[in-house]
Amino acid sequence: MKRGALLLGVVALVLTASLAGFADAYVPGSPIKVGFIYVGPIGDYGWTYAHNEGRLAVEALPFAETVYVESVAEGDEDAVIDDLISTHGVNVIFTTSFGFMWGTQAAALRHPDLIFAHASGFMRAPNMMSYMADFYQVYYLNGIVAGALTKTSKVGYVGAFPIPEVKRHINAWALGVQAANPDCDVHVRWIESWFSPPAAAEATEALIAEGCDIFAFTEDSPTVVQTAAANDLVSFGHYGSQMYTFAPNHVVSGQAIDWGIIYVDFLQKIYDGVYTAQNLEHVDYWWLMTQKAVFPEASPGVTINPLFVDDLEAYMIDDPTFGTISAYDLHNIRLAQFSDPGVTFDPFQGPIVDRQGVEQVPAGMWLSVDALITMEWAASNVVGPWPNEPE
Amino acid sequence: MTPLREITIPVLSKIPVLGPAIFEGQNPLVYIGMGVAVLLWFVLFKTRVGIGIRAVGEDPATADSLGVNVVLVRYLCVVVGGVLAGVAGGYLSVAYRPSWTDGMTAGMGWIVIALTIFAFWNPLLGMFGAYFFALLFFLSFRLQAWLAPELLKAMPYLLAIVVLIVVSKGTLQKRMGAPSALTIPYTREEG
Repeated sequence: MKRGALLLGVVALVLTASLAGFADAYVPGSPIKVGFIYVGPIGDYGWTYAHNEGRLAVEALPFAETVYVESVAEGDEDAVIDDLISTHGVNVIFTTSFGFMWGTQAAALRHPDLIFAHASGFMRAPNMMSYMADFYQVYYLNGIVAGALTKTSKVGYVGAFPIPEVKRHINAWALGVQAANPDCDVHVRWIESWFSPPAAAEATEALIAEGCDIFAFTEDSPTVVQTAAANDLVSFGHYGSQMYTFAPNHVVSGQAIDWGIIYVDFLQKIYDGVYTAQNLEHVDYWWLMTQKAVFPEASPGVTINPLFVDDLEAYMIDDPTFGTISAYDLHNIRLAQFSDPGVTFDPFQGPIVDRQGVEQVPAGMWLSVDALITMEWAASNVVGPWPNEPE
Repeated sequence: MTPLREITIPVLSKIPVLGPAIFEGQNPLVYIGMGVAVLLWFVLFKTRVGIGIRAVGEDPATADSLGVNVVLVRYLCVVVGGVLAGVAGGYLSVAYRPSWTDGMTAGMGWIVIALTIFAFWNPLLGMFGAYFFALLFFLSFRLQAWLAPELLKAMPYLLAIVVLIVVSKGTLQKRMGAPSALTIPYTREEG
């Protein structure tokens, strides 16, 4: 008798647990519960901070409610997703790191009624879309500014990992530098981490020792900005203008992002019934400057720090298209071309020959998104180690 | 936030090579760190208190029978260790960078485990080991164009493994290895 009651209890428990695991399919027009999974802490002032700003934009929607989990190790996303579903009953989940891609896809297969969205990857499913707001145009604009302002004709880049995304950004920056200053080299150091203030500081010091006087980087803390400023050198903020506050006199411009514009657009379409758990197989947000997902910014609302505008106006460039033009004007023309709904210029506009002498983009051509997201070559003015460089 | 001021020690900074490297433009925590290493070495190996501390790690039952309060000494050591680890982390935010970001150590502190093994559990050797590991970290960025940074970054752990192999047997283990009762909880067996 006792045993039977116990068995019944266990069966009841298992049933409740498994029921909790099955969320109902989302009905358009009903409130959406959104879950976010972050790879870093929201206080990193970089990548995760920017995604969390996007989440706050979602919170402002009348029909959406959000939960988030921060500092999730890549590989642990699977369990965290299941927990968000069973504990919080989320309908839509955003996973915001490349390494979450496989776990997100596995979860999407397990929960066919829920909607998943993965940042910076390429895998999709009927209920999983991919999205990215990419900086390469912004880096090109920053590069024009860097090439004009350098006194040593050496500028430095602190890179996270030698992967296509980071290489694309370095190349775009280097091509911008080259447009303003054909004699300037771009020196590169890798720190093998997305977030490591100690490594970023040492890498910056190493670049300073090589004579670099302007810096851009891929690392999710303001360390490069601070290390450069401590040596009275300037840099470009990464992932938003919050880095400006650490060195207001030494941040020239930077790469700013608005993930919220993607999040809100996608969730609105789910709410309206446009996107469902059945039709996301080919949905890929690759949003750039025209969509206002990314833009150059020094401090909130300011594209270039006014402290540097005089120097940029005084620096004259001999441009193949525009003739003699100031760096400031060239920057603003390119900015307008990138922002224009019918984008009329691309940083990777041929002819482009890599540093091995191989033609990567034929004259007049642009690179496809596929070529952009698999980029391994180095621009001709890049100096330094470059793992996986094509021979 | 105001970062710690850098100081230069008058006379000593004039010593060729070593002077500018050690006694010029460093912040006070550098000297406090060196001082703590020497002090800990002295306490651990040259005083009665140190014998007690090492005894509760090697053979807590014997230490207990000799009147050492095993639980108290162990807890005090953990607390002091925690304080020192806190100061080390604080060094990053008040002197090295200097500012604070959530998670800014990026797991760097774990290297202390490799360091402890590499330094044969001796604070004085630990100081030199720490500077050696720091040199490897520094060089992994300076030599990147010629040498894979992964190699230099893996060195501390490879060296720790080598030391573990060397001290895994016999008298070497007793003198240079981990304390025998490390991580083993101690409960007095009541007669």
